[in-house]
Amino acid sequence: MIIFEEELKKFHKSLEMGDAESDIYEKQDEGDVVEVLLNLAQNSDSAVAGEGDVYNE
Amino acid sequence: MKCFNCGCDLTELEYCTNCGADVKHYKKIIYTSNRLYNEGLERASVRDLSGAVRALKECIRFNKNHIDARNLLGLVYYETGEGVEALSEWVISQNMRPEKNVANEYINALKNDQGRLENIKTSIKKFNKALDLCWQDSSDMAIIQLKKVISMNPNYVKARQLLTLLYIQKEEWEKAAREAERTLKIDCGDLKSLRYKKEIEAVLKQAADNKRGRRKKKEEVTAVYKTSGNETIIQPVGVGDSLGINVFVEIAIGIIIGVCVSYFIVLPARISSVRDEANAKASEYGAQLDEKNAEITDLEARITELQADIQAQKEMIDGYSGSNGTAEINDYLMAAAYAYLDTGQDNMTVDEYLEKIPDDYLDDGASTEFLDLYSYLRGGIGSSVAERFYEKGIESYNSRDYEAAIECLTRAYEYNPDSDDALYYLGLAYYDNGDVNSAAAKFNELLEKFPDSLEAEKASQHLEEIGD
Repeated sequence: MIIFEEELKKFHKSLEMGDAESDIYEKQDEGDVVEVLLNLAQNSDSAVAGEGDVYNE
Repeated sequence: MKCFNCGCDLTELEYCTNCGADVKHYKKIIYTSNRLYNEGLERASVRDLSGAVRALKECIRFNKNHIDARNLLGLVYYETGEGVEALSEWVISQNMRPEKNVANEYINALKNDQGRLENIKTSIKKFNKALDLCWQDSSDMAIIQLKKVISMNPNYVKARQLLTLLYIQKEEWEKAAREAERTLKIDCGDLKSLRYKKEIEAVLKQAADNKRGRRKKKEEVTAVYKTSGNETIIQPVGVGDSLGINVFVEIAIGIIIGVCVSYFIVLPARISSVRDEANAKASEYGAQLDEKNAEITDLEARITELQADIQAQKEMIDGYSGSNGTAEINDYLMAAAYAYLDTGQDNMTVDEYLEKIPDDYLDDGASTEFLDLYSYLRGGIGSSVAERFYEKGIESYNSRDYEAAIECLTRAYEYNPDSDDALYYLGLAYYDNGDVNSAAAKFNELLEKFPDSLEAEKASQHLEEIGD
């Protein structure tokens, strides 16, 4: 059974030309899984390096 | 595939052979991203556009630098009427890889087709407005807006879905079914459209079943069984009952309804349509009339311009032909020049010709060359002619012909403005002729220009006599 009001809530306004610029910036700033992985890799490297420093002391 | 750490080509090993970075998870991410792109491509190729959007968005979430995925996502958005979303994806793709990128072609194609771009912009605005109208319970207005949107941007899936929903709300099931069908032709995998279609089909099926049930029931009661003694009489329902007055009444009611429909619905619509056509024609003729009027105004202006041109040309021709005496004046100058060059002729002859040239022509109409020659001739004959006029003037004065003396001395003074004698005798001639004002003017001029001359003293005495 379709309830009009409920269905209407599922409709969202489309992006207009004026909103394109902000949308582009927003999308460009979005992260991806590759970035997450790289951050993890860098953190783990620095953690290892940090541990090494402590160990050397 | 390149190593995320050093950029070297990766092998089948789980680490980079160049820098030793662990690429096991990285490879998995890239493979997943590629798999999602392939899925998106496959879905798009069978027009499951919403499925393609989901897969491609997922692909970009794994690897946002997947250029092909972005380009395809833009293309799918464009196909579903979401022009701005499409442009966004293509612009991001273009920023990531400015050259050798098909996104450039898409963007340029859209930019070059300004009409299409304008349609997309307007249709999106109208769709958003229609959505607002839906929330304001103005379904009819929203339907009108959405119909316009669809006429401008026929593949706008969201607009078609909203229109379908509005038809469902208004229980216009046939229209809703048609719209849902069209939406699914654009995007066959859209869950919302599929759900609407299912709902509509269910309602239509139920309606069809009800109709069929009623008809069956009606068919069942087509005869009335009566018993008369031992006999059973089967009498068809309606036979004998309805073939009487009822038939005519029904026909009459039908005719009345028909007339009413044509009077209240068809006729006004037809009148309105004819009026619209007439108005359209009138405005068309009005526009044509305006155009013609503008043309006439232009032509009139052109005529005025041409007439002015003709007048100017005529004046020029007249100038050449000598209707205002130009040619004649030129002849005088030529004659003066010839007389000047011809040693057999007197300089007074030259003066005669020069004197025939009017002063106003010298002031206004004469060319520079004309004036140069004129001045040259006057300069050339100046001293001798001045002397001759002076002699003649004195002669006339002595013979008491003051009028002639004034004329000759004036000319003598004109040719030689340094002659104090000529000026003095001119004043004297005026004096003796009884024109004391002119005489006083000349004596004063003499006192001013030649204050130390002998004639100045005499002029002063005359001025005293005049009482000036």
